[in-house]
Order: sequence, then structure tokens, then C-alpha cells
Amino acid sequence: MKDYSHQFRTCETTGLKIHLPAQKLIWVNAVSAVVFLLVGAVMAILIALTRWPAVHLLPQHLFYRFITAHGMNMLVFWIVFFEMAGLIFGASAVLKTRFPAIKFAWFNWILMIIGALLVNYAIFVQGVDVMFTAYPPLKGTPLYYLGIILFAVGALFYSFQFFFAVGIAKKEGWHQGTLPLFTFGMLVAAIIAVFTLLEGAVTFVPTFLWSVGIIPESWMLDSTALYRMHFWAFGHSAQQINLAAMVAIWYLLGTLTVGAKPVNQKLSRIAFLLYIIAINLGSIHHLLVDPGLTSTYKIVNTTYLAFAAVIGSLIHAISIPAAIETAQRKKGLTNGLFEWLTKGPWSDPGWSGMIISFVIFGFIGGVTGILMSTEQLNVLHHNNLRVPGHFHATVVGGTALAFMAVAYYIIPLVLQRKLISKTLAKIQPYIFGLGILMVIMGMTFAGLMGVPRRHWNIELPGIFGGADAMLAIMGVGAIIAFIGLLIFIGIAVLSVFFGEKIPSKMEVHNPPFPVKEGVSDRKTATT
Amino acid sequence: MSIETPKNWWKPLNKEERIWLYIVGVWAVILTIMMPYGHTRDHNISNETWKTTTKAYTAVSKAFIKKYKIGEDERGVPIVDARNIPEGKRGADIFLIATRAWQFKPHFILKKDKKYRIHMSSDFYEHGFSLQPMNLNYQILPNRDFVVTMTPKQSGKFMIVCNEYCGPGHHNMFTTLEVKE
Amino acid sequence: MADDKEEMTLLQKILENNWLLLAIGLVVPGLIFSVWGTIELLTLKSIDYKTLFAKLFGG
Repeated sequence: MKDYSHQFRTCETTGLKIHLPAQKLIWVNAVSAVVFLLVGAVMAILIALTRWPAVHLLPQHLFYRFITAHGMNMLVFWIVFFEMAGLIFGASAVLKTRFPAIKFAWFNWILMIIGALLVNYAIFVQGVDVMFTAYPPLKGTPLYYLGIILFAVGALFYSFQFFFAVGIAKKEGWHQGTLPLFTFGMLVAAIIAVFTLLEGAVTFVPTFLWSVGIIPESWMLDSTALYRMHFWAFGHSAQQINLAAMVAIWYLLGTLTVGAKPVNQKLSRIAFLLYIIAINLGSIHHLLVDPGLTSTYKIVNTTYLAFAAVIGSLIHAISIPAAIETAQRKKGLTNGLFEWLTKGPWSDPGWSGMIISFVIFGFIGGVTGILMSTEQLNVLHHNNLRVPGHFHATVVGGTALAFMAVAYYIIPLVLQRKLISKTLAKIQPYIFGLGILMVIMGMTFAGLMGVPRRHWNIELPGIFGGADAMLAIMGVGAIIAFIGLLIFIGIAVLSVFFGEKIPSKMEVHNPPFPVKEGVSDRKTATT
Repeated sequence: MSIETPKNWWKPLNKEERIWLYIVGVWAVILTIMMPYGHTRDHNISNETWKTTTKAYTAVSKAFIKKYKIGEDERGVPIVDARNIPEGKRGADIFLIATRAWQFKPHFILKKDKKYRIHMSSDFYEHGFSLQPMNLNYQILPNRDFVVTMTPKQSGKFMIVCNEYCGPGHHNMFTTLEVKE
Repeated sequence: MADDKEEMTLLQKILENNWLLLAIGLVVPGLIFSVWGTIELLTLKSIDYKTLFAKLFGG
């Protein structure tokens, strides 16, 4: 059995050294992500066409079940599998190091896959429809909670592996000095992930025990507020993992598309530090109109500690365009105020995806989020369609689109496959961006009119008539976004399995000794 | 291209970065003050929550409905006239319950400009209190009595819709609130 | 450029210490969000309807 444990290959474009076992892990996590993206996408179009009153596609029992499936497959499985690929990439290729404990990494992937399959089985076969939030006393089956726990444990172990790998890179001498900004951003994502997943254990282990009858129902009924608090410590912090990963990916895409370099590393890293300190506090914005918590607690937490974490985001909001603008101006694009932007590589889906996701996330998602996180304003927003309007701007128009944009680079550079259609890839971010914008606007304005979320038939109370037009916009937008998603999934799957292979030189590397400079026992072999 | 960080990356900020940080800092201070400031004005959510039991709340809700009921709707949901109920120091207490059978009880008739303390609780699931069309939304939990003080300023017919998913009866859950002079 | 002896500010040292960053990321939200919130939720006071609203029950 050939020992691949020290085999690397060098990427001609970036100069990065990719550890082959790590590459296989990146491949399997990225492919898993796209599989669950497809499931979530089919669910998305079905529920959107149900909320569009003129179509009202699904019967009620399937509607609520498919919202649950859409939530779990998109918010959890697609995004987290992709982030695991990002963690492995950031801890191996970017640091030009071997990724340690390969067998353990495969074990974690198996845990996550079993978890994801159990959850989907619970929803589609056992009929669980408690929603992503699963608020007790709504009760799922034991397999549903067990699946979530297994998935979370796998992801938690992956996060610890990331820390270990970064340590190994330093100890064995593969990488010296400060972590590159992308890896530092993924480190922040991993730190947020540890908090998220520990809170997930606090939330789901008792809930699982209740679902099998060990914890009595009376205790659960008295602890709904506690569940909500810890659930959102898990659930919203999970979205902050997405935020950190997305910001890291924006910096990376800036480098890959136009050669941008961060203007001030100190500033960007301090912004990431603000995330570490304060970003998990914001989860309280789900509980602003909840009974039981004082205004003082709510205000301290919902402001992310006097907006510390928001200042972090606003720093990235200037740093990333600054890096891009500086790089573009160096190339001579100095005509007028915005030539650096207008003359960007708009036919490169990595570029267009990055810019569109930046605009949608920043201007629409982030702003509506801060508005809704205001203690007094939340009374107008809680539980109506403005909430999905907001998070489809942040998670979908923002994070998912950024992930898709970087995938267009990962597929050729890491997975060694040429994209099967450059033309389709070129237009995909625009189609998806347009569709999701319409979905966001439709939902936001319907919510402003009071339309509740997670509601199968708003005609029944007879008071939401004016919202039909907004829901129709949402429905049409969903069709366009779905087409955009299918194009991405098609390109990704077909390229990875049938795309033209890009050859690369294989090498064998042993860990250099960390202390002496200039001493290494690297051997190069061509295969 | 290199993704590596240069060795001495601890550099001072340039002019644009400094200006941006000042703007952002001022904005953060203003917004942080706004929420506590809002508490000196009227637009606040309630901080009044009591621990109770579903049994005790169901009993007080039943007693309240029994005392002030003036009729029923076609589904058998009671209609309560709360226009002239005694007003304590902090307002007149009225009781809303969200039931396991996916109903809000009762329908309310309220008096304009009278201060009401709306108690809300559930006897099992979590529910949402969504007052339309003013779009005021609160969370209703079992075993917790959430008291929201509200004064109706307009007369007319309003609706309370459930906006927290609570099972198959969720989209059938709504009750009315009528405000008369 | 083997300038390993340059002075690192405290903030820079914090940013280079991964385990310290992890500790901050767990302890700060753990205390301000989770622990404080749990304490608030567990210390709610009970209400006695029979005493406060005796008139309703009295008939």
C-alpha cells in the first residue's frame, strides 16, 4: 500500500503546496456540501412556490416539513461541510504544511455524514417538522436530535484538528511567522465554531434525552426560555462562523482575482479580534421580545458589546475594498473615482460573486440585521417575513454566494479539474444574485406588512391581502435563484467528476527541522 | 502571488482608515445610547415576566373569561368585554391564553385610551402574539406570564395572529381585538 | 531579515497566541451571554393569582 502521507503537489498559479491526503479531504467535504445544497435548493423552490399565494403549491403537512428540511440542509449541512473544507485548506495548503491525523479527519467526516443522513431520514421518512429551531414542546424523533449531535461532534473535532494542524505547521517547521490573513480568519471561524458546538451540546443533549423519555416533559415545559437562549447561542453563533469564513474568503478572492493585498494587517486582524470577543453575544437578538430577560441584559448583548463586533465588520468593509482598489490602481486603473471597480474582471465568477455577495451582505443583510437587533424596533420585526428577508441577504446572498465564488477557484486549483463551462460560470453569480435579491425584497416588504413567517396560508386571517404582490416577487425571484443554484451545482458536480484533469507535479516532503535556518531535507521526485 | 504576511506587519493606520474609524466610533456610541434612551420614552418592550404554571394560568384565564364574557363566536371562542374592568395602579389586567388546541382565547373588546396590562401565556406550545395591522410582536411561552402594558389609541377592529410555528393548527390561530370609545 | 528581536506590542502578542484567542472566544461570550442569561432565567419570581386577583375567583 503506497504511503501518500508525505506526498505534496505544487500549485503553479499560487505557489501553494497541497498535501495530497488533505486534498482528498477537501474534495470529500466540498462534494458533500454541494450534495446537501441540492437537497436544500429543491426544498427552497417548493416552499417559495407555496408561500406565493397564487401558486400555493404544497399541502400544509409537507410545507412545514420541507421548511425544516430546507433549514437543516442549507443552514447546517451545506454551509458547515463547505467550511470544513475551508478549515482543512486554510490549515494545510495555505501554510504549505501536512495535515495531521488523516484517519481522524475521515472519522469526523463519517460522523458528520451519518448525522446529516439521520436528520434527513427523520424529516423525510419519520415526518419531523419541528423546524431548524425545534422549540420544545414541539417534539422531533430521537434520531433527529441524535443526527444533529453526531454532526456537531464531527464538526467540533474538525475544529480542534484545525488548531492542532496550525500548531504542527509551526512545530515541525513547515510554516514560520504570522499566519496568513486567510488562515487567521479561518482560525476565528474555528474559535466561534467551538463556542457554537459546545452550546449545541448544551441545547441538544437534554432535548435528545427528553425525546427518549429520560428527561420528563414537565421539566422541558418549564425550560422553554432556557432552551431558546442556548439554542440561539448555538444557532446564531453558527451564522457568525459563516461570517468569519466569508470575510476570510473575500480577502482570499481579492488576492486570487486581482492580486489584492490587505492594506493594513494590524487593522484587519484587530477587526477579527473584535469578532472573537463580542460576536457571539448578538444571538440575543432572537430573544428581544421574549419574556424573562431584563432590558439591561438584552441591550448589552444585542449591541455586540456596544457594537464592538459591528465595528469589526465595518473595518473589513473598508479594508477589503481598500485592498482591491489599491491593487487595481497599481495596475494603472486610476481614471476617475471608480475605474478600479468598473474595469474589474467582471467575467470572472470569482470576482463578480465576491462583489455581489459583498454588496448584498453589507448593504442589505448587515444593515437590516442591526435594525432588527434594536430592542425597541424588534417588536415590529419579530417572527414576520422580514426575518427571513434579512437572513437570506446575509447567509444566502452573502455567505453562500461567496462560497460559490471561491469554489470556482477551488475546483481548478485544489481539485485539479477544469470548469466544464466558463460561459455558464460567468453568468451564474448574476443570475443567482438577481434572484436572491428579489426573494429578499419580496420577503422584507411582506414582513413590513405584518406577514408572519413559517405560515402556510396567510389568506385565512383575511388581513394580509396587500402582501400578495410582495410574495409574488419573492416567488418569481425564487425561480430565478433556483436556476442560478442549479447552474452552480451542475458546474461544480460535472467539473469535479468529468472536468478535464489539470496535471500537477507530485513531490515528497518530510517535515523540515524548525530551528536551523537553511537546513531542510526536502526531496523532489517527479511522478 | 504570495499569501504570506510580511514580517513586520504592525504598521500605523493611514489617514482614510483613521477617518473611517472615527466615523464608525461616533456611530457606535450614538446607537449604543439610543436603546437605553428609548426607555425614557414610550416605545419599550416589557420587562415584566412572572413564573407560573400552565394549570394556574389556565385557571386565572378561565376565571377572567367567566367574569367578563358577553358571548361566543361561531367556533365557540368566548368574547370578553373589558371596557369597564377595574383599573389598578398600573392598568387594567386582562388575560390572553394560547391553547394547545391552537386557539387564542378570548376575543377582546377594549376601551380606547384605557391602560391595559395584557397577560399572555400558553398552556403547552410556544406561540407568537402578533397584533395587526400595527405589527407589534411578542413571544408567548408556557409556564411564563408575560405582561405587556398597552393603551389603545385608535378605535376599530384589530387582529392577533400567531406567528410562531406551533404545529398543524398554526395558520388557523387568530383572534380579534375590538377597540371602542 | 532576521529581525527576531523586535518589540511586539501586547495587542500583537495576543493576536499571535491562538490558544489565548480561543480562551477569549469561549470565556467572554460564555460569561456575558450564557451564564448571565441563565442566571436571569433561573431567578424569575412566581406570581400568585389567587391572592392578587381574588376578585376574579371570588365571583
